[in-house]
Amino acid sequence: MWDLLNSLLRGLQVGSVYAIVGLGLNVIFAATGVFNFAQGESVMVGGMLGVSLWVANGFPLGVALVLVVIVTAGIGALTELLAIRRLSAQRDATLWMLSTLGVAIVVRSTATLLATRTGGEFAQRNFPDYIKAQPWHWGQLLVIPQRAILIVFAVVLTIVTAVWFRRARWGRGLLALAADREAAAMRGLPVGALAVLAFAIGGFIAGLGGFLGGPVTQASTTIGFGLTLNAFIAATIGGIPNLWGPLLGGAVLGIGQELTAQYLGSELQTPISLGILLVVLAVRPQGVLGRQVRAL
Amino acid sequence: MKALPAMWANPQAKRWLPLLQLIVAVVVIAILPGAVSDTFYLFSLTLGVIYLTAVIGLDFTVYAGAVSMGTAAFMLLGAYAVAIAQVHGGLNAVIGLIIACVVCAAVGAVTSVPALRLGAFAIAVVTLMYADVFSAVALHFKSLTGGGDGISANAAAVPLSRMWLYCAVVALVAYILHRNLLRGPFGRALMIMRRGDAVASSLTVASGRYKVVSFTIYAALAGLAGGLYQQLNGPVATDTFGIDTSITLLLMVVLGGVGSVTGALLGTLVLTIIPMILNQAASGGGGTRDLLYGVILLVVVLIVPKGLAGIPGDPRLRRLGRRLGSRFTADRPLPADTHESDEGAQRVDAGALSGLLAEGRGSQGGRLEVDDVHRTIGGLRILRGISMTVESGHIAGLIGPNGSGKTTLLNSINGLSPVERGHFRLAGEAIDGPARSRAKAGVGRTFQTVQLAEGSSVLDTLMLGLDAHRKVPHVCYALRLPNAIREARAHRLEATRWAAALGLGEHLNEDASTLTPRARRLLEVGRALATRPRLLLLDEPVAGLTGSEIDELVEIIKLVRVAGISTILVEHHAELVMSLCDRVTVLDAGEVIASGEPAVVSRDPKVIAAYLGDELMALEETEMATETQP
Repeated sequence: MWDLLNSLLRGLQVGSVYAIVGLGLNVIFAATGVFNFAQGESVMVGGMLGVSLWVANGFPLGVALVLVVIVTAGIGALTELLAIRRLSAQRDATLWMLSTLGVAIVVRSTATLLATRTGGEFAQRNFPDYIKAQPWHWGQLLVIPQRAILIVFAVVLTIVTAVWFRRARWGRGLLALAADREAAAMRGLPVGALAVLAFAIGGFIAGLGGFLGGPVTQASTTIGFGLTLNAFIAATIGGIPNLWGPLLGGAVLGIGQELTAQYLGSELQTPISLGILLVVLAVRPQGVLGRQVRAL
Repeated sequence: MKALPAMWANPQAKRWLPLLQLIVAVVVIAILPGAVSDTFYLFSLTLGVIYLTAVIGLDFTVYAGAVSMGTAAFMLLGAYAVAIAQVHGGLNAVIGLIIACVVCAAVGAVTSVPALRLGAFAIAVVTLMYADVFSAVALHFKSLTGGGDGISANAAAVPLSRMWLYCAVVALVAYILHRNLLRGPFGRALMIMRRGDAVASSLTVASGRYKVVSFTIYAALAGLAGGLYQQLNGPVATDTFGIDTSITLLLMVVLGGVGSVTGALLGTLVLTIIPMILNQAASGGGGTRDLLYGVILLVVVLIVPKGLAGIPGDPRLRRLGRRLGSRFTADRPLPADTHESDEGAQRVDAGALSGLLAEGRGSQGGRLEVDDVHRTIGGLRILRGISMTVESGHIAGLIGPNGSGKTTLLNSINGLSPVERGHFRLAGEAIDGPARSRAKAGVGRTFQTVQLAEGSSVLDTLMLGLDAHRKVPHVCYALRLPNAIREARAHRLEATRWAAALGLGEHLNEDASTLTPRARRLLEVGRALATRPRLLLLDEPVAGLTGSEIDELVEIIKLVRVAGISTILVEHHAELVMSLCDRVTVLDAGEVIASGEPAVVSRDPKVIAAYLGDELMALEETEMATETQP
C-alpha cells in the first residue's frame, strides 16, 4: 500500500519533468507546426550549464538560473532562424524533423566536447539539491521537498503559459498563428518574429525544466533524446497541442514507468511506455484532451 | 572530347551502360582486397558494405515517408538471430542469415502497421524506441540471449578478404534490386506518395501497402546487415548497435540523397571514409565525429536536400555554370532560362491524342449515377441529398458559388471524401469503395492546383498513369525478368506517344517542376487520361491559363468526349462551361438548384439569384453572346 503510494508520488515527480518538456514541445508545435527534436537537448543544457555556473563557478542560484534560461531561449531562437526558417517554403515534415535532429546532435556533441574538455572524462555531473529542507514522512510515504516541488513547478508553469497565451498580446498572436498561419500573415501579424518567439519560449521552458528538474534527471549530456521521447509521449497522451495535455500525460507516463520499475523490472520501462503511446494512438489519436484529429 | 557525350546520348550505348557498371563493380570488388593491404582499412570497408546493405533498406522506408530511427533494432535482431542459430541450433551462417532476414521481415511487417499510421515525428519516436524495446526483450530472455553479457558466437572462420567478398556481393545484389525497383512502377508510386494520399489513390496507388512493403524490405535488409556484422565480428550484445548506429545510417541515406539510385552508395562511402581519416588523425572521442555528423546533417537538409546524388542535376549549379561560362565568352548571349515563355512551344497533336484516347475504355461506357448523396463536416451539411446523372460521353458542368459543395462532391465521386448516405454507379455498377478501387474502375481526375511529383520527369509522370494497368508484379521488376522488361518497354513507348500527343515530346526527360503552368496542366490531364478512365473529373482545369492555352484544353476535352469518356467539369469560367457542356448542374448550399441544358439553366431565376455578383454578369454576357450569334 505505502509502496504503491510512494511509487505514485515518484511517478508524479518524474512526470512533472516530462510535463515541462512537453509543454515546450506543444508551444512550438502549436505556433509553427514543427516538433523540435532538439527540445530535450535544451533541457540537457539547462542541467549541465546550471551545474557548471552554480556549483563549479559559484554563481548565485538565481543568477545561474537566469543565465541558463537566456542561453536555452537563445538556442531555441537560433534553431528557428537557422534550421526551420529556410525550410518553411516547403513544409515537408521529413525536412524539419531531420534539421531539428541535426540541431540536437550539434548541441549534444558540443556539450560533450565542452564537458569532457573542462571536467575530466565523464560528461555527467551530480546536480545537488537546491532545496535543502528535510524529507518528511506521512505514514510511510516519503516526501522529499526537493522532488515534490517539481509537481508544483510543472502546474504553475503550465498555468502561467496558458494564461499568457490567452491574455498577452504576443501570446494571442501565437494563438492566431496556431489557428491559421496564412490568415495571421494576411492580417499583418509578424509571422516570422512570432515563430522565433515560440521557439525561444520553448527553449526557455526547456532550460527552466532542465535546471529545476536537475536533482531528478541529474546533469548528463546523454539525457536529451530520452527526454524528448518521453515528453512527446506525455504530450500525445494529453492531446497535442493542448497546453494542459502534458501535465496529464506526464502524470500518466511517469506513474506508468514508476509502477513498471516497481513491479515488473526497470528494463521494461521503455516497452511499457511504447505500449502506452501505441494504445493511446490507436484508441484516441487526438489524445485525452484533444478535440480534433491532426496528423502529427 | 565530343565523342563521349554523343555516346551517352545514343540509346543503344545506354542499354549497355548497366552491364558496364556491373562489370566495373565486380572488378572493384574482386581487386580491392589485393589493393588494400592494411587490415584495418579492409575491415572498415567491409563494415562499410555491410552498412550499405542496411542503408539501401533504410532508403526505401525514408523515401516512402517514414524516417525510421530504429535501424539498430533490426540490426540487433538480425545479429542475434544468426548468433542464436549458431550457438543454440548449430546451424551454419547461410541458414542463420536467411533466418535473420525472414525474422526481421516478419517483425518489420508487424511493427510497421502501428508505426506507419502515424505522422512523421511519431514514426521517428516510435521507431527510436524499438531499439530499446528489443534490448529489453533480449535482456529478459537470458537463457537464449545471454542477457547483459551477450552471446559469444563465433565470427565466420574465413579470411577477411573472403568476408569482404561475401558482404560486398550481398550489398551489390541489394543495390541492383533497389535500383530496379526505384526505376520501375514501385519507385514511381513512392514518388507520387510524397504528394499525399489523395493524389496517389486517384492514380490507383495504395500508399499504405507501399509503406508497409518498404518498411518490410528495410527490416529484412537491416537484419541481413546485422547478421553479416555478427559474422564479421563474432560476439553480440545489446549494445552492439545503438542509437548512434541508427543515426549514422540515417545520415548516410540523407547525405547521399533519399530515393536516388546512387545516393546510398555515395552517402555510405563518404561516412565510412571520414571516420577512417579521423581515426588516423587520432583526434579522439566521439564528440568531434558527432559534431561533424550533426553539421553535415544540417548542411545537407538546408542546402542540398537532394543529397550528394542530386548535386550534378541541381539547377543552381547549372545557373552557376552558365554564369561562369558567360563571363569567359561575354560576347555570346545568355541562353534563355528554362521555359519562361511558351512561345514556340509544341502544340497538342489532336490526331495522335484521339488515337490514344480510342485505345482507352471510353467505349465501355461512362454513365455516372449519383444517388441521394449526403455529407456533413463538423456539423455543417455540405451535401444535402445530391442526385445527378452524367450520360456516357457527355460533358457535365458543375457550377455554383464558393462553398456550395462542388469540390466535396467531386471528392466523394472519386472516393476521397466519405459520404454518410448515397450511392454512386459507373456504367450501372456500384462504385462505393475507396478512391483507389474507383480509380481502377475508371474514375480519373485532376486537381485544383496541379499535383505532380516534383523531381519526376515528364516520361515518368505519364508512365505513372500507365502503371494503373500494370500486370507484372513488382518482384519481376526487381529482378528485371523478361516480362517486366517487355511491359516497361511497352509503357515507355506509350508514354512517349502521350507526351508527343500533348506537345510535350521535347520535354520528355525534363523535371516536371521546371515546366510552365500550361505544360504542367497538360501533363496532369495527360496522366489522368493515361490511366484510361471512363469518367474524367476536372477540378478547375483552366485556372491560371491564358486565352490560347484555354482553347488548347477545350480542344482536349472535346477529344475526350469523342472518345466516349464522360467528363465532369468544375469551373468558375462561366463562358467555358456554357459553351462546352452538354448539361450543367448548379449547386447552392449543398443542393442541386438547377440541372439541364446550359441555355435553359442560365435563364433559371433560382440560378440567377444564387449568382448575385460578378458571376451573374458573366452569365448574362455569355447568354447575350450566344443569342447574338447567328
